[in-house]
Amino acid sequence: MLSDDWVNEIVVEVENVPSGAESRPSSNQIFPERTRVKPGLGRRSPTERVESQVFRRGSDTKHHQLLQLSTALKESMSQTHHSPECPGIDTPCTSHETAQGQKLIASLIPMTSRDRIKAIRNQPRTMEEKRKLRKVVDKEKSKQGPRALEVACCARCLHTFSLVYQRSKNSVSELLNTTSLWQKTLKVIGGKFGTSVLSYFSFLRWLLKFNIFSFIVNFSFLVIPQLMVAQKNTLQFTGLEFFTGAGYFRDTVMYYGFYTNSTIRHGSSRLAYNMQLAYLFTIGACLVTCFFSLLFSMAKYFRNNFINPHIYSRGIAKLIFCWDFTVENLSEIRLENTKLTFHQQLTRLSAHVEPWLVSTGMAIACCVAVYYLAEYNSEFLKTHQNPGAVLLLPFLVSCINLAVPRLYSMLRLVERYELPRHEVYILLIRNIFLKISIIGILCYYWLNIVALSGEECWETLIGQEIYRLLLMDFVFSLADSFLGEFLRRIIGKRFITSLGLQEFDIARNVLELIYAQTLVWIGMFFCPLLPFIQMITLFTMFYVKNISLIVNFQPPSKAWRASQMITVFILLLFFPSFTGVLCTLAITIWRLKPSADCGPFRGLPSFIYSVYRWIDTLSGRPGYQWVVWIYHNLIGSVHFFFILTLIVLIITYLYWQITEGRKIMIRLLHEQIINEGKDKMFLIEKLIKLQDMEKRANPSTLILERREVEQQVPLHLGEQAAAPDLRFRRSFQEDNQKV
Amino acid sequence: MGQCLRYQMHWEDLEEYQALTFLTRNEILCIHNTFLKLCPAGKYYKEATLTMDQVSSLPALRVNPFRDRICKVFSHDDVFSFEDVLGMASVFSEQACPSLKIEYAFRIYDFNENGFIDEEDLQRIVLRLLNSDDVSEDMLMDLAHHVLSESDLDNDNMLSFSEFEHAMFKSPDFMNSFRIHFWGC
Repeated sequence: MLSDDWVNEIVVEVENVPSGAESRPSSNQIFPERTRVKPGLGRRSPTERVESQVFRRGSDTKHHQLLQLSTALKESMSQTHHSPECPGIDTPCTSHETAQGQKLIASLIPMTSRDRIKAIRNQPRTMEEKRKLRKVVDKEKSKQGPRALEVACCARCLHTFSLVYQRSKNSVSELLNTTSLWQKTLKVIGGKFGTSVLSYFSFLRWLLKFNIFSFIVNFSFLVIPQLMVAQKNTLQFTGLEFFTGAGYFRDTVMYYGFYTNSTIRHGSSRLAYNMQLAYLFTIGACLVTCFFSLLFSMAKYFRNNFINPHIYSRGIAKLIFCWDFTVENLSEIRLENTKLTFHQQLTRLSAHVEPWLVSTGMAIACCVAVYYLAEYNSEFLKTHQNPGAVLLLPFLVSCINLAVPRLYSMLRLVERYELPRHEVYILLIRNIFLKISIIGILCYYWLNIVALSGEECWETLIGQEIYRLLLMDFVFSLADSFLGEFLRRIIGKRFITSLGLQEFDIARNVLELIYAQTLVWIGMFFCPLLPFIQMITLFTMFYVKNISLIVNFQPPSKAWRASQMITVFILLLFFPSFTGVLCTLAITIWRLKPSADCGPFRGLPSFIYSVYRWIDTLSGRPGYQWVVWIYHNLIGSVHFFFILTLIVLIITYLYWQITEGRKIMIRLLHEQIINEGKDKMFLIEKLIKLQDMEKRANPSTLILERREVEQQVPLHLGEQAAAPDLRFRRSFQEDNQKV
Repeated sequence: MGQCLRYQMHWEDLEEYQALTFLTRNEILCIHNTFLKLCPAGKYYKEATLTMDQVSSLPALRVNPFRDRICKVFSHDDVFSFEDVLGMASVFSEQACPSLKIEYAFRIYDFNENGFIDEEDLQRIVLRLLNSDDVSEDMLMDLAHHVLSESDLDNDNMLSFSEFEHAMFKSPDFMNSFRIHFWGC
């Protein structure tokens, strides 16, 4: 989330010289301005605000943090003490006559114009000053111009070309921003409800991108070739197909069973399109892209939110300084830092055992119920010919998904957690356990029972089941938003007004999204058009949830760390969900026998057999030996993976050790800062004592000295615009503004 | 409250503002429109000024508990010129770089303007956030001590700019939440 597109780096030290102090420790005398020291100084440390703006020169790194600050404590030691008035930030030190202004200009001149613009933009100054700075730099640059003109004119051409390119890139990115999906709506939501609720909608949009990509890939590589050799659909179309997915849809491109196993040839040309390989590789490509996208997002969020040794401090500072939270319950915050004895911790833990047992028991009971119903369902369907009867299982699963999380939330009323954050995490864990177990049980049922049951075209059956599950989930979500939340609002406003409006339960909603996406990923193999359906679902849910949010909800009152929660959500999406999908598909492809009559893999002993056969045919052809070599020695070979794993483990171990070393380094540096602070205090006290002694010793010469000082100071401070006191500072400010 | 003379912004001015601030073209034009509606009649927009009250009562700032500090920090001589307003919107925009946001956040939170966020500043911040007056004194002091114990590295009971910056870099939520969306653009 940090804007980080710095390419060039120059270390510039721009000193904000506090009034009264000289920046160059050339003369080590202590100026008699010590008389201006205010008495209450013992508390304040005369830390100069030295800002160094770090611009990095190095074209390889694109992501880099901006600032490194260093305090010039040592310099302040050899100088006079300043009045505790911090100089106005927009003051004198920034004019082009000052030394630090000169430094800044000198650093800006050699930069390319793009970086110069960025550097100037990042300065914390008023527009007027930035404009002046730009003019001055341009003037200086043009002074050096005559020399620069000797550079070959193609360099100038390149320069103008890069300018044009930059401008067009800017306009294109602006265009993209304006057409980016739901940009404005998200901003409104973020403004009204905070970044936590916004994170749900951003997550939804991100999942939508996955689905759009999968749909496009599937459509281009699977559906279109299949449509070219499609067979006529002889079934009748009734309206019920939208819900059951069976009937007319069975013989369409929607399901696995419709796809041909032949090699499609276009006319008499030699172009051959092997549907078997295309099917496997397309689904594989979708999943691999999702995998890398998830991995990189997770790594990025992880890096920003977790891997920073001090981050584990929960941080009241964030609550105080961030604008997302309305701090209502302060006592919660105070409790975070109390430590408990072991015995207290144990008693506290044991109080939680019961609710955990209850929740786990409920989850297991639901799984068992689902399993038995699934088994019973198939017999039930054989006896009852009603096409709508297939909806029973999805209906039950959706009911479980609706009711049990709310029961878990009610458990929360019974058990007490000290930290609201723990509550959220526990709720999240329980819900994810429930959802993953249900999906797990269903997968087990499908792969072990349905696939082996000898039914005709079991893949299509599984595809239809998943379609129905998704659809029922969608219907329930709609009903929940339209009816449930609406009713809750009516109750909260009219009947039991003490309840008030409800707050958006982010965890539950995100888990529903994750659940649906898991089903889509599993079902993509059996029903290639499933991403399209999920696309429509997500699209609709966005608008429904948005409207429901505005009408039925109030902004959250509790502190919620949005960026940490997003990291947790992506982690959940990756770890139980995506890896589960990969396991399921792996079992399907390697272990199961495709059905004999339908689909691209009919008649083969296993799905992966098509790849084996392909490799065999390739080894017959002379030009493709390298593919065969790669397959045998890199993909199919155990040694390769063993060595690879070993290397990865070694690298991980080394990085871990580096991290440990850095933690120690941070601790040492922290101690060093504290020590330097103590040194500073000590020296200041000594300074005050010396000044007091001098004052007592020479009260008369003091007045003369003062006058001398007031004459000396402008001379010494000369080019620096540091103003010893307010009087000087104000007049200089006026001068500055006239310029 | 009449309207400023309706001069279209020159293309060069727009380009210059785009180069000097983090705002996009549309945002600058939006702010220009709103400024024109608010500023006194008969003046060129570059010379017109808005009072601090006018800016405080904008919808974006009205609900912010720190609006007076924001207005103080970004105004010059207690009035806002058009460029001051642009500068303010630029710092609070999404695209602004973190260092700039931290710099101005520090200035905003430094109530007594002594260059440090000390205990007094922290207590005032908490009072503003709570938006109520019946907060016990020792709770405020306790909170201030907590914040300082977390972020004060050199143990001088104040947060200097570096310490504040260090603390804010550790919290990615800060960058996202330190935004104000001006004028519905």
